[in-house]
Amino acid sequence: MKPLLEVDDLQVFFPVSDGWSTRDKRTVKAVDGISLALGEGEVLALVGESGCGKTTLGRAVAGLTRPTGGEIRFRGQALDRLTAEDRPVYRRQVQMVFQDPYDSMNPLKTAFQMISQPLLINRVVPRDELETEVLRLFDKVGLSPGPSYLNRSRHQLSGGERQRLSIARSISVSPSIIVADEPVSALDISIQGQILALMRELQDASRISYLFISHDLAVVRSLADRVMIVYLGRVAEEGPTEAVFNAPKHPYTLALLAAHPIPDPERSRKRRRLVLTGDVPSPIDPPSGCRFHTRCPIAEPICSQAPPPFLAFGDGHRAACHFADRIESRMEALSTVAPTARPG
Amino acid sequence: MTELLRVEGLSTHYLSEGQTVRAVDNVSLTIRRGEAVALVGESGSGKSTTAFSIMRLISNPGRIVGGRVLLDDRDVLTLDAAAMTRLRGVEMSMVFQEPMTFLNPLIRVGEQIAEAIRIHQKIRWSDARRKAIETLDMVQLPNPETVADYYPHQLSGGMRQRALIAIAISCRPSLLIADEPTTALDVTIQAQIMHLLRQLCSELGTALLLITHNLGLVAEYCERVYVMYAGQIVEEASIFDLFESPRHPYTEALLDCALLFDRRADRFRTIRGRPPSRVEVPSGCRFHPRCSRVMAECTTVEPAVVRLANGNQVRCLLHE
Ligand SMILES: Nc1ncnc2c1ncn2[C@@H]1O[C@H](COP(=O)(O)OP(=O)(O)OP(=O)(O)O)[C@@H](O)[C@H]1O
Ligand SMILES: Nc1ncnc2c1ncn2[C@@H]1O[C@H](COP(=O)(O)OP(=O)(O)OP(=O)(O)O)[C@@H](O)[C@H]1O
Ligand code: SF4
Ligand code: SF4
Ligand SMILES: [Mg+2]
Ligand SMILES: [Mg+2]
Repeated sequence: MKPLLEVDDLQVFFPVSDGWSTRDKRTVKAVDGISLALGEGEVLALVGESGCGKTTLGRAVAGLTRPTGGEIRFRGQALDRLTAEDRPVYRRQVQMVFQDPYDSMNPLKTAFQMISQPLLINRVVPRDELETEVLRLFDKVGLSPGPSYLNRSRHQLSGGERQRLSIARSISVSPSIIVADEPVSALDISIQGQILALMRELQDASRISYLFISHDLAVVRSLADRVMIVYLGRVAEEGPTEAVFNAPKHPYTLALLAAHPIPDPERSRKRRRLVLTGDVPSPIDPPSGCRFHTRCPIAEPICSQAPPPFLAFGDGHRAACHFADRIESRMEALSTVAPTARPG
Repeated sequence: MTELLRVEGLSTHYLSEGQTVRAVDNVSLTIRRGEAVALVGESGSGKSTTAFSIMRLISNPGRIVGGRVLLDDRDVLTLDAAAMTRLRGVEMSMVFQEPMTFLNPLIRVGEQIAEAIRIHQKIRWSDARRKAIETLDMVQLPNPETVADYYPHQLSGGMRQRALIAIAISCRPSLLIADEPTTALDVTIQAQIMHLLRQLCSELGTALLLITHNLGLVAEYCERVYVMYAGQIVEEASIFDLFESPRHPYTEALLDCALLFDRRADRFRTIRGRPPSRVEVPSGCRFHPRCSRVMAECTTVEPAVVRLANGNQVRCLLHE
């Protein structure tokens, strides 16, 4: 089956402008050669540290940021060759949901106005059926009783309710793809589950595909079909969720898993530790060769000289590391911090 | 271990638009020397207000309306301003979620630490600067001499948090309160900072009060935990007891919501409803509108704190 969305060797660079150095010709390589494919009804998670380019990639896919290079194709059609008529259609097909929709909501508008606007612009329903449709959407995202939400403005909604409203707004135009940028990060865990359950339900019922951006590995594990681990604008590892979590092949993936807290004192204190040193380098001047070499615990001289190729492990699981095929033995040899014992 | 901090019946209110927000309501807790204790709860449950009250950093429209905060048997709430300044920073200090708000953007990092040291120790600038660099080294910042001359904006988020920790520990306090110290940071940096905090605390014998909503951090780095709901402590337990057999229905529900990254959840769990407004608190047990085990009397009878046989505490009618 042909994927719904294909991204080929995408690059998004931004000019560096930091006030006084206006003649600076350097660029921020926010996304530097990323390829991906998203199937119908599929959830692809983008994982990586702050500044690695997740939002930039998501915005490019949603048509909100112009790529510097590469190609994005929707149902086989290249985005930069869309006609003037097709452009709004694409915009409608790909919707974006943000971390905290508070800022993207007009403070003077009611919930009803926020949802009815895209419905009217896109002529989804006639004017006299507007309220019925808005209430149907409220019901679908679990804002109930619906009528009590119609006249609320953004400050009269809780974080979870705002996120529901923002999802209602994005599904109002029946998109085929939702780019969800950290949709639950700002929510308490007691509320997170409601939004995740809603997203999964929409995926099952409406075959919506998600590009799901998150740094929370537990959320990713439970929601995504496939995962892409990004480091400094490039893919470190990608593959089916279970394969990547059960048999990670890239040292960065291993480090992320080792650093992720486990809400279980027995297990979290028993596991081996792998604490990376240093910060993520600047995307203006990324390290040569493998971009992870400045923090990688098993780096060798070749790592700073040659960019690693992708090594494949079947079923689309691949990792960009010179030693991906020998990762277990390499990591084994490391002296990890001794696990802390259970206190007396 | 001997007792270091004892908070008794602490209540702190905010006056907001003519209404009283009961942010902290009759909270009691203790911390022993060198111990790592967590305070967890949902957003708005009163964690930060508790911390600021202990540090006596509550200002308008907030007011501490009752209770005692005893640090080494001295009541922090009745000390005069001069004694309070001596106490704050020297015996107890605090690290905040957003370091940028607490670092002066116009002053070099080293100078800010030296200044913090000089508030409490009558030493020369050159000595204070040397100590500042030592402190930056202690928080494992690379090239501390160079970093000392940086302005805060020249540091990454993780480095800023280290600088703030450096300021907080510069006088080797006996109590360090860390309010969501890693929430704004990436997991790999979070792991670095939490390791550092734990290592420093054990080296200096400093007790840690870690305020967080991240149950993973609690499980990994603390020994005992207080669970807060709607301004009250609802459960206190050792880490292993809490995660093995939570006693309060709220704690139980909260643990159920937590996802594990090493297994796929078939179903996402949630707690129905949301935390109550702090102006109109529910009658009886504050958790009753959301509790899955609610009984008739829960809507009218306010549960008291009960101490269990194993020394843990819980506030729920099921245990009375
Ligand atoms: N409009 C812009 N102009 C210049 N630089 C930008 C712009 N947008 C993003 N960047 C830079 O591009 C890089 C990638 O940013 P991006 O927001 O995509 O990261 P991210 O992975 O979403 O991070 P986070 O997890 O913090 O949201 C960063 O270094 C960022 O500073
Ligand atoms: N300056 C203020 N004026 C009025 N109300 C306030 C003020 N500061 C806090 N509150 C209220 O007091 C209650 C407790 O707030 P607090 O910041 O202590 O919660 P918290 O547990 O730290 O939450 P979070 O996890 O979001 O940081 C909340 O209902 C909050 O809205
Ligand atoms: S290529 Fe080298 S530096 Fe990069 S991840 Fe692999 S071992 Fe580490
Ligand atoms: S007192 Fe009642 S409502 Fe409150 S937690 Fe216990 S069982 Fe639930
Ligand atoms: Mg982002
Ligand atoms: Mg707080």
